[in-house]
Amino acid sequence: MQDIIRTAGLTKAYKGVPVVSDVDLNVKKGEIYGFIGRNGAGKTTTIRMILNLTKPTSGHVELFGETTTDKNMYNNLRKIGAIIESPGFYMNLSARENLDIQRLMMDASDKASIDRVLATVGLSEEANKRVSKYSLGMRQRLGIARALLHKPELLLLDEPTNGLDPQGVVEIRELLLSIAAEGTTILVSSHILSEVEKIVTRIGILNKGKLLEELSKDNFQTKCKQTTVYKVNSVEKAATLIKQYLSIDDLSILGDTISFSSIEQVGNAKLNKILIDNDIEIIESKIIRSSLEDYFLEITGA
Amino acid sequence: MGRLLQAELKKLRSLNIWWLVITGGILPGIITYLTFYNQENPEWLGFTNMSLLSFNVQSLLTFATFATYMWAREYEENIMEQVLCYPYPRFYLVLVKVIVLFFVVAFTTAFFFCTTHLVGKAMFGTMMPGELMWKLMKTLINTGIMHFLLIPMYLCIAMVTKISISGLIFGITNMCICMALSHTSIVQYIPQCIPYVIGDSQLGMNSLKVDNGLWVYYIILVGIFIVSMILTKLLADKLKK
Amino acid sequence: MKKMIGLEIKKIRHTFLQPLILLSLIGPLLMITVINAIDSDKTFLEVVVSNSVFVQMIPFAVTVIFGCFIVAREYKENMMVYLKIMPHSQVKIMFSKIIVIVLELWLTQIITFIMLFLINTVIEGYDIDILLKYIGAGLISATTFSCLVPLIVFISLLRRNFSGSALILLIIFMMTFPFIFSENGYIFPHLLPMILVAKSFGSSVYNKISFLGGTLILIGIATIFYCLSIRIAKKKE
Repeated sequence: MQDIIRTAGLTKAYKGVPVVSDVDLNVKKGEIYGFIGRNGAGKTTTIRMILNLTKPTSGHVELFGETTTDKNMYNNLRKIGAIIESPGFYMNLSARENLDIQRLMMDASDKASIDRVLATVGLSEEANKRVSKYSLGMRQRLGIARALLHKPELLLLDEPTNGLDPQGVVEIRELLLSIAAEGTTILVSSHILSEVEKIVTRIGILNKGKLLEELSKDNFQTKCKQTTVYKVNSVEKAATLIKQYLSIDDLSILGDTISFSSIEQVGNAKLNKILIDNDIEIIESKIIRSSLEDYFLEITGA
Repeated sequence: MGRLLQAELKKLRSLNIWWLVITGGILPGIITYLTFYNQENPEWLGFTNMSLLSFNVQSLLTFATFATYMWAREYEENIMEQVLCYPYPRFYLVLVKVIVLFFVVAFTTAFFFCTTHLVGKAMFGTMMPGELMWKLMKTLINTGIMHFLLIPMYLCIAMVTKISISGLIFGITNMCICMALSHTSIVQYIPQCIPYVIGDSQLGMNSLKVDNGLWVYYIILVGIFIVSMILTKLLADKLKK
Repeated sequence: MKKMIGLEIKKIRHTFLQPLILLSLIGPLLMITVINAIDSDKTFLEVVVSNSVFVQMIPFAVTVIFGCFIVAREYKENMMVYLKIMPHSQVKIMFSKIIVIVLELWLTQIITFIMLFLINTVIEGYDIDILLKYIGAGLISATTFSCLVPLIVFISLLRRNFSGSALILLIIFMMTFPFIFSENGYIFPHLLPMILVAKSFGSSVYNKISFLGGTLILIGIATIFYCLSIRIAKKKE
């Protein structure tokens, strides 16, 4: 599959202080790439370098298979829609007028696309209202609408759900999934890891300017720890049986609860049978899978 | 109120248009020096009068811009909501700015007085004659007070427009009116032009028409001051709605 | 380019600039009419000639505000980032803004002088020589002030703040204004447009500077600040 975005050794330093160090990013066509990191990790700086807004100190960026130069960037920009930091608008103009300006600047001839994107983000009724009267959430939706207007091949979204109500967050999530299903590549940077986890196909974890890890969702799920918890009437007996039959020594006992972690799925049915056959009452059993948030905190050393 | 004044004075430190006040104090003297430079037999009175006229005209711009900027910056820097959460009556916010602006006017006037002296000394090689110095001081006290009496009007403009450029536009308009109508008889009744006209007459030049005693012009300006303060109170009360 | 100029004009809808431009047309006319009414010894043309600096200054001050606003607002409204990811060069975008500012300047300056001529005609009757004088003054004013537009754009790009840039420009302008009445006023390039118009009306004060000299200085200023503006527009972080 073609790389839509590829960075090699991308570095940015301000007055000798690196904010992005040696980032090798790969975003494939049709992916939803989750770009996650703490505040000040360098996510926005990386996105800005990808969009040629900031000159890298070293390294280079390839978009659509070509190394970006000032000259070929204009062609690339026609295929890109973006939200960077917070979306800006001409406050004295209405949403429709702002989108019309965008349509004209992006050389998109289809005027009907304005109504289409406004309907997509749920702003059709407020289209003729001045943006100065919009709430934060409405402006965020309008920013997404503007990014989608010219049907881009690549979407770069920096905190797209910022300021949205819970329903709005769900709607945007579903929207991004539907856009990706049509073949658009999406790079989404966000702090809300629970949301990122639900939509992405690949994840890139940035910390202190360095890309710590890039992994697919399947790899991530495999790597994610799983803890099995049993609440039984006889903890010592259960612990002995688990050690004997499952060869798991690393058990944690707290009161009447015994828990153990394992990478691979434990055969719960087998364990249940062993415990019951040995007259142990199972009061409660559950499997706790660690989330992206847990993995992120672990890998960034928080 | 004391704490509010302290806070206002601290805010002044972050104001990046102090150069306006410094320029307003220095430039009239320098412009006059350059104008008189090639003249034969320049004299202290002519030099001082021209300097004073320049100062009074430019002060319309300086003080209007400074005053509107002090208020409008709260909007431009998105701090107004924070300011409105202070536990003080809204009108105090205005009053405190008026007090601070009194010191700004006084400082600028005093600064102008000193720089005129220095520039004049550079030109003539001697100190300003004592009688002229005393006249200048009296004149500056009067025109300084007159400029101060116009301050609430500038604050009104800032409260209505909420942009700092409005003071600049108003100041430029006043400058144009002053200079364009300077040799007519109606200019003495235009409140913004009164310091300009009175300054000339107080110094003894009488090149501009002054038909009444000083008290008439003070009544006009005090009236403007009172009306503007009432307007600012009404506008300030409207802020909480 | 036509499209971009159209977009720039579209962007100023519903802003304070529209009534301000109207005021800049009315202001000088009102002022001259009032002075003419008070000063009945002079002809209308003589009043215009003796107050030509104010006639030009007010529309120019409005042009400065106009220019600073349309450039600096892109930073204030966080649109600059989005302009930079449009498939158009920053130089093209900046140039379209310069053209719009020049158009506004020409509109206000030419209309002001034409309106003055019409008032002159109403008061004192039609005279072709006077018409030519007004047209000449209007054209000289518009052309020479246009050379200062790149300076406006440069300061706005540098400061990235509407109030700050307009303040700097207008205060420098107004504080050096008294020099316009002196024969050495031409040393300040921003006063040259008013000096050259006064010369065209027959003023004998400004013998030290010729039309050619003044024009060359202004073209030089325009070129320098245009190049500097391009540098800033193209600059990346």
